[in-house]
Amino acid sequence: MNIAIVTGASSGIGQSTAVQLARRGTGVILTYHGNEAGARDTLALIDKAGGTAVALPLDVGDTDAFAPFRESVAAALSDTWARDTFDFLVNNAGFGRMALFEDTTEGMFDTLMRVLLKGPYFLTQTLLPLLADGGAIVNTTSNAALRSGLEPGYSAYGTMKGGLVVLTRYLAKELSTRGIRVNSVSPGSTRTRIADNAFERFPEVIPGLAAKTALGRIGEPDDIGMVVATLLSEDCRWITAQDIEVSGGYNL
Amino acid sequence: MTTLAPERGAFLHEFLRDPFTVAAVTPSGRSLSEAVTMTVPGAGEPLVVELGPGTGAFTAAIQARLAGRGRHLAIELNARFAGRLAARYPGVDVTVADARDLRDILAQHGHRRADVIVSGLPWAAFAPGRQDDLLDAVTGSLAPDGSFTTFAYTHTRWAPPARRLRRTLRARFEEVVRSRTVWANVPPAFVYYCRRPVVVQP
Repeated sequence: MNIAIVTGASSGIGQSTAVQLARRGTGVILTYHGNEAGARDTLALIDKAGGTAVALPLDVGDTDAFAPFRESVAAALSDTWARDTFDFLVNNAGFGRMALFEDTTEGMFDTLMRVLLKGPYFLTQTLLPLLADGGAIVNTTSNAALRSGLEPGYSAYGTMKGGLVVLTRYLAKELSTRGIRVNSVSPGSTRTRIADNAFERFPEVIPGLAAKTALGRIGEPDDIGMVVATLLSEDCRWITAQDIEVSGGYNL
Repeated sequence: MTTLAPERGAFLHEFLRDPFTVAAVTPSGRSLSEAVTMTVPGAGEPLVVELGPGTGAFTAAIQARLAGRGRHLAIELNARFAGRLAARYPGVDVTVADARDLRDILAQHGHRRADVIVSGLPWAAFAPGRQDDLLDAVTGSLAPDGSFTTFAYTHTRWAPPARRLRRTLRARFEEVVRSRTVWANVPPAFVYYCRRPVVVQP
């Protein structure tokens, strides 16, 4: 049985990924930060799907928490699955902040950097000793880092996500010696709780985004979660160092 | 899941209003409540004291284990929680009080010592002095063959308040046993089972 760690799985893409993995028979350690009720919902969905999961709190923006987190992961692996390693890592936790370049504050930039770039970088480094040879990593990036998704207001967010795309390639190179594949997915606009639940607060933006999307709607978490689960699977064993846009053809 | 939602909402609301009094954040899951209340005996007429019941995460489990036997005294500092609890569990004597006054409260109710004390108190949020006062009250109110249980979250176990609690429990009870981690709880937690209180005579 494979075991995956999915960060930021109390809602949205992370929640979908956790459930999709569980449906494919993968045990899941999911993390949440603040949204404990959401983490319980994910556990309930996985339970309903007949899967096994453990929810651990983790602030991806706090590198000091990573070493204790690894201890918790090791304990959860051994108590729940009688394993001392895990197979898949999904660096998904994140948040969105939008501001025009001239309005972007240093504080906002630093927070985005800490959570979206430094967090996945050092969390992966911390967890690497527990990641099994032949395993796989998927990072959640964004089409805000691609030409197709360029919109005003995402210079800081998109820059961090772009950094994560580059990190994905370097990890794919360096971890290839252990047979570990590393890829990323770049979602377009997806109905999640990102940016303080923006899609629920401003539903009027949805038709405009759908009109710019070739397949005629905005993305749903499962549109992305299914791709992440597939990328981690044996079906994609020859794919590494790739960034896959999953946006329904945004700006096509 | 859905039946727990209103309690969780109430709890969070209270926590945001007064985070230092209501620090356990959300009612704990069923498997944890089973582990924490395992010390309630299945026979006889025990006196069970519940400290800091909050929205009643452990209350239902205690009531279920007692099944009408013995006495169940709940001590809650928050009057709103206490009111809800009393309305929901008519079999529980709910007292609005500070758990530090446990000895006086037992005396007022005409009780001697408790057979079982179960704590849902947020130890990590308490200053060292308050932790000490509370544990004085616990050891001073527990029958010599009684047991005291409390829980802690796995991910905070190396933080200073959690280490201090562990040290303090070991100093105050001859037997302190840590349960396995209840991984199903969000966040994962474990239980301390404490027996044979070390009572310093005044």
